Amino acid sequence: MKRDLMKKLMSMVIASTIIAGCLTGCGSTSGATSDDPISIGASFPLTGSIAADGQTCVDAINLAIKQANEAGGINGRTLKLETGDDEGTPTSAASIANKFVDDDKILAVVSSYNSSCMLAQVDIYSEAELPCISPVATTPALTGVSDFFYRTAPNDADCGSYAGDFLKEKGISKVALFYENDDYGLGLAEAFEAKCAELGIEIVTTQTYVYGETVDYSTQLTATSGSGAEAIFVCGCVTEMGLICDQRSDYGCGDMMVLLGNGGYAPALLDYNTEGVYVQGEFDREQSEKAKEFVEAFKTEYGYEPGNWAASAYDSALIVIEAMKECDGDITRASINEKISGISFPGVCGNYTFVNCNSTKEELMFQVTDKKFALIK
Amino acid sequence: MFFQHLLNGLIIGGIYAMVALGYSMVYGVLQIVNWAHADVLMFGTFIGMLLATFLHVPVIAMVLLAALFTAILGMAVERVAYRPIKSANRRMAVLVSALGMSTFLQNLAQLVFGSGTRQFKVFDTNAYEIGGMKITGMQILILSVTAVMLLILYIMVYRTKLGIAMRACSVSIDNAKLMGINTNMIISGTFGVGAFMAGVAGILVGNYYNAVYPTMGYLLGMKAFAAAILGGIGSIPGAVFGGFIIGVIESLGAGYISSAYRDAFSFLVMILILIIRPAGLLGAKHIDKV
Repeated sequence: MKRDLMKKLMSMVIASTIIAGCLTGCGSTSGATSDDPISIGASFPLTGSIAADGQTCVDAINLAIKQANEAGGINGRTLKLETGDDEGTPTSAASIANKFVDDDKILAVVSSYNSSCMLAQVDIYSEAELPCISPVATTPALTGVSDFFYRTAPNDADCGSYAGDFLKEKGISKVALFYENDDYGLGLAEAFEAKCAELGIEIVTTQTYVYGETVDYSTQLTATSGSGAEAIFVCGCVTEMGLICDQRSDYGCGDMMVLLGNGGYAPALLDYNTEGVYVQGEFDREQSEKAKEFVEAFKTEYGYEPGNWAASAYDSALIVIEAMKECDGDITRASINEKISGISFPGVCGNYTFVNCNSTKEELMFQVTDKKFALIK
Repeated sequence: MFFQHLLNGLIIGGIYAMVALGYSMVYGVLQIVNWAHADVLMFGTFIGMLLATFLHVPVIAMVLLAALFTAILGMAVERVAYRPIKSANRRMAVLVSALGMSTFLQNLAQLVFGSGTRQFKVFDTNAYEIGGMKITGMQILILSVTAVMLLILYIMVYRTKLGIAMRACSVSIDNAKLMGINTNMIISGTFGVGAFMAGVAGILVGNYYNAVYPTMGYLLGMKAFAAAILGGIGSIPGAVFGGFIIGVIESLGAGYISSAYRDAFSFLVMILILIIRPAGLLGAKHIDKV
């Protein structure tokens, strides 16, 4: 009796899988009528400790989509944004990716904020042949990972070596390395360590903390103050960086030079005690007319200043939209992917072409001066 | 360097001690773990931050008002989530209700205040150097406020009628009732006093790190709970002792072994204590399952 039931259940499951498979298969060929809106998926952390950073990316993407729609959309079809909240955790990110993949209307994705989340999503998008551009995920592990993945985010391997060069230039020979204990922090820290070994810069102490949790840096900073370090390099996100900067003078690190990785290039950093701190980034708001226009439009729309990642997310969205415009005939996931892979596009952060998933934009150095990011290099 | 780590540990230990007292006192009277304690603390800290930032209330008034609000919230939690179900022998139900209250408060805070980290800095932060050690005004303040609060609590518990009644309830709530003690009022008072201390601790820790956020209670509460267990849950001197030990161990462990395991040290110590001496360092011999 039980066996019979099992058999019945099994056959039902198999049958329904086949039917479902057919339905989705049929859907993708016949679903694209000419005036349906086209959806773009966006998975970012919208709750949790970096919710503000995720929101700024979604704001930037929304701005790009709004501007494209006002200019007539894609061959008369309007664009629509589907957002998902990945909470900055890989498990939520994976389930959102599965949701996007199953939605036939979503033809491209701009995602995600955290490297860990992106690593969890990238295979899901690749298998479904859904093109994805990441504005923020920087880990070297994403280089060349798939034919359907691109990033307007820089590669940590380049950022780490840029940071090493900068310290060498400033005459620093002993440095304290702080990193957040996840894919992003580790990836950047390793790249930085390799460059330091090459340049002969000694890493006198390595300190770590938990992203989204650690607020007390007393032990890390106390250990640093006794280590003889001349500078601190931090690989992490903006809240933790702000707290480290705030607390450094309490534990005898007030005189050390501080260099922050590009995770720190966000307006929120300026609320902390960060005067004189060096920050890496890729977005120079004075660089081009396009950049200035973007900053103005963003400020009028949302009432606050866009940072590095907002600019990168805006570029990601622009590239997706541009690729859709270039598609002649049917706009499908495959045709969009083909156009992105061969694109050469001037964005607000510089010119993009994609090689091995990575973009070719340049790394820049800023210093916090009078509560503003001033470009120094 | 050793003394600097020790000092850092003692300061955060003082905060743990103040929070741990709330767990321990409630457990002493009711034999339940008030999981919402740390979230009540978080709410109080947010109120303090709002009072200081938006209404520009003077510092001392802000601390008192926020701590008072925390106390009222603590009593309200008891009234809503524990009193209706504690009468029968249903400690599992109370435990689940406590966890539910904790989740509810945390999510309510995310909804009302947003999920980002807010800044909170109202105290003097000049750093002083004493015998090669750096100590900031904030740290001195934390140490002295902790000392004063503990002294007041000591006087209250051991020298006042309310304290005698509280201790009577923790020996036997039924007998206390027979002696004419209004036990509901005493339980309410215990929650209020514990939450008041937590409110003060929350404002101190929020200013110490310059960070207030809806999940700030989670780790702080876990560590304080570990401290209460370590000292022997239900014991007031035990909670204070446990708080300082946890603070120092985590600071030294992170400083000399690795900062990656900072949070692990406190819990490792708690596990060891539970294995070796289940009643805690200063706890009663009688063992209860929590």
